[in-house]
Amino acid sequence: MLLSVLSIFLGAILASFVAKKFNKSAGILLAIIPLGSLGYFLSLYEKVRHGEVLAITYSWVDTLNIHLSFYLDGLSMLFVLLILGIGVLILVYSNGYMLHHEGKGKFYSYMLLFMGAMLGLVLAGNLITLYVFWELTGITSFLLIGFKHTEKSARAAALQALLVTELGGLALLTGFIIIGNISNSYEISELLNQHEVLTGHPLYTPMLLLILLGAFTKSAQFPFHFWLPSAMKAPTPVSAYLHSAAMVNAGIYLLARLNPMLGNTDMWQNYVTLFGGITMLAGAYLSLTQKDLKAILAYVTISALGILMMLIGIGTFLSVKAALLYLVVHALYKATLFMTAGTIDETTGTRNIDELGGLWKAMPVTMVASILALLSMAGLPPMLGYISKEFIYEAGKQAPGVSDYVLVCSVLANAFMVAISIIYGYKIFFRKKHLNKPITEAGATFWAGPALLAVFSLILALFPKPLEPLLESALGAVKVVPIKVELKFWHGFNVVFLLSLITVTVGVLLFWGRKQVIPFLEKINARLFKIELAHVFNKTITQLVSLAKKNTSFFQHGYYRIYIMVIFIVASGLVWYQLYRTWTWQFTEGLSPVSYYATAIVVAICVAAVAVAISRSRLVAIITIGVAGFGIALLYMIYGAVDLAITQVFVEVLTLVLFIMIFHKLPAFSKHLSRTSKTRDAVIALTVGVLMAALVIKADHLNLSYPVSNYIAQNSYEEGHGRNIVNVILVDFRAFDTLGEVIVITMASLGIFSLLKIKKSKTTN
Amino acid sequence: MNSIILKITAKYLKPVFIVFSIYVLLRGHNSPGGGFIAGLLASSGILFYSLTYGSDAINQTYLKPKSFIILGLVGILLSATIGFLASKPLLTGVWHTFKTGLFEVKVGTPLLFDSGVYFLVIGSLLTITSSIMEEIEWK
Repeated sequence: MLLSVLSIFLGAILASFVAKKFNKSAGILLAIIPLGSLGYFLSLYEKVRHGEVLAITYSWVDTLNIHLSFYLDGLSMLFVLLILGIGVLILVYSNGYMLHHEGKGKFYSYMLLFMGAMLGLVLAGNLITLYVFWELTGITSFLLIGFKHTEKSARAAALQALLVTELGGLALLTGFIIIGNISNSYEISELLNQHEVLTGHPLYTPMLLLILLGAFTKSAQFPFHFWLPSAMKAPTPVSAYLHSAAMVNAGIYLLARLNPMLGNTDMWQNYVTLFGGITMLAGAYLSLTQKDLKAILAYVTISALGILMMLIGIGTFLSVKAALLYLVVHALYKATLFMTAGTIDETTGTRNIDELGGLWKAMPVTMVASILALLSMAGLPPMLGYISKEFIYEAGKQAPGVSDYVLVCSVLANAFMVAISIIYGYKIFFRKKHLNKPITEAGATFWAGPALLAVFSLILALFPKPLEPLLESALGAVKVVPIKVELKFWHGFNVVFLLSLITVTVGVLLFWGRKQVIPFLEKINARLFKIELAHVFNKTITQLVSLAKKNTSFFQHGYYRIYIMVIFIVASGLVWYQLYRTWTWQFTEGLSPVSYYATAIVVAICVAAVAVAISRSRLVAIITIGVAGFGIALLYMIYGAVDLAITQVFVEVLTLVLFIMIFHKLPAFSKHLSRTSKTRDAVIALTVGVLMAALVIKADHLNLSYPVSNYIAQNSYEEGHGRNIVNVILVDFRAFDTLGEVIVITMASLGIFSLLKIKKSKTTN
Repeated sequence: MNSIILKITAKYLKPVFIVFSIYVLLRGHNSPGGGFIAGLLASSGILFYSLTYGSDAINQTYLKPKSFIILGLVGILLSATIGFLASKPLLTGVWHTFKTGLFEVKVGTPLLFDSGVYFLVIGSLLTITSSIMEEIEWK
């Protein structure tokens, strides 16, 4: 399983090479990789079908219970098949769509990365692994949405999607960590039987809210739905994939996956059902007044995601069954519709539904595919959508407690869907409208994918038997107990059938009265949605940025003197406080005698230090600082720290040389400091100096634990193969510290380099 | 700086600095020395030379400063990963003893690590000084 994910990532690496070499057929060639993975998973299908769970664990961070583990059961299988199956078709479709676009290689690369991330997400068997892939989908979708990065709107949409989903992602991580802390495990297989422990814990409420925030942002639930319509700035194949099989389904997957662990509580049912219901209604309603084909579809997606959320929230057998079937249905019709919308856009040059019309003659294949998909979307026979809608009503009817609301809302939402389906199909294909350019059917790669999907969905609807075991095993994974699933069209004349009839009637009526209804709705919307959520979000972000700017310019003012002052005052204040609390006088005991030459050196250093402070020439000051430095080096030497002494000498030399080098470029030495600021500086300097001395004294008799120096001294030669302990510590025992220091040096030097270069290029311009 | 004595001295002193720095680097594991000190030593040599011959001399010496940094980072990375590949924690020292009849030499990844530090210190110092020298147009 790891291999299948890795193979797709490998494909992403190869993509740009393939795109360059096989310009005309890159998409088709690259589709082979997911196709191969699809074959692999189909071969595992037989096993999973019978309730077997395939799990592999690779060790990763064992100390924190984090493993790179994969877990394949019915639920994962369902998602995997959708991701890979639709992914293959989308890649084939992109072959035609992206043929003349620049940066094709990059596109395929992102696409495959995204696919791999999605695949990893639904296969992950460890919550942290899942989180890593979750974030990866966020980042890759950012790249995909912003693919046309020269357009400002695309960049803004990409950033918006990223910020919204990352906000949720961080919440999700926190939620996962809470789960991990409560149950001491991140493994899904181990968490499955911890339902009571998790739901009974006092932290259950924050944990659930955080996880729901993650799922809601990812799956575009109200009030975070606004990023999804903006994300249609992406190339159409991306939208098709993002909306149908990938990205937005991640939240659904997560909640379905966590349902056995966290679900079946009042809180879960109330929140998930409520937000799902609102989203379902709002999405369907808003889709009615949209003009852009992709925007219509985007709002329908939001509505569909709302339905899925609501069903998972209800959490009964029937509702989860309905959710899983609807997931398949939605993926099939949405991918088809997005692809055909892209084809129409490519051939006619417009996506505005009011400018299109009468395409049925010119684009018969596209038309048939779209109509089949639209039928499914409207939930009409003979499509799979009809069965799933029946299931939804069935589930709504038996929803505990909230049945009435759910039924009314879903009938209303579905009626809107019926209306928008008819309007969509009618306006594009059958309305008499003269287009100002001749239209012909686009190439085979354009219609092959959608046609295949549409026909496939029709066949599945007519012969739904093969779908049953798949849903059964997925349902078994969500509800833990195996259950039978039966798909058929006719359930007899009952309440559900009646509701279907009402839905269709309302939908058709809406279509009939569209000339009156839609302008009316537009008027209402203009009043109602004066405050756009996307706008609010953008404004918040802008304000945050300007706050950050103010903050930065307050702290990063650029005065070296003040930086140093703040650092010294804060650091010495904190350390003084701690010293004051723990101070004991015992430094006079057991000191070794001080030799007269050491005393002489110390006196020299002191004299030099005072001389620096009162000197009136910069050169004198620099040289006296040097004296102090060399004096310290000598002290090191006397007390046996040879390495330190050598280093000190070199550092002194180099500092002196650098000083002297820039010496004649500095402004003249002036006495511009007032008496008060001199006093202030002296006080600070003395405080820091005395603090250092006090620290040294304190360190002498402070034994926090057994000193490590003995161990190092004893083992330096045996284990480190070196007699110079300092060096062995630097390069072997504490090599990681050295690594950090070395990186700091590099960063500092590159920082100085770029600072000076930036200044230079500014002055030359 | 146009002093003929300084120029001649710097010219002949630079290789001495370099050779001595390599000596200090290699002996570092058993006696005072090591990558950091050796790096400071070598860069003082090069710096001394470029003080007399101008800032361009730094870029013309052996490698460009930034290539030294890259060399250093690669060395450190290699030494870190060798231990890792031998399925030990990152940066674990791996030693091998070569016996050549007369004497035996122990070679280990800490030496590689130390050399990495050596190059990195040279590179960083020269990057800093050369950009300062360019800024003040040191001739």
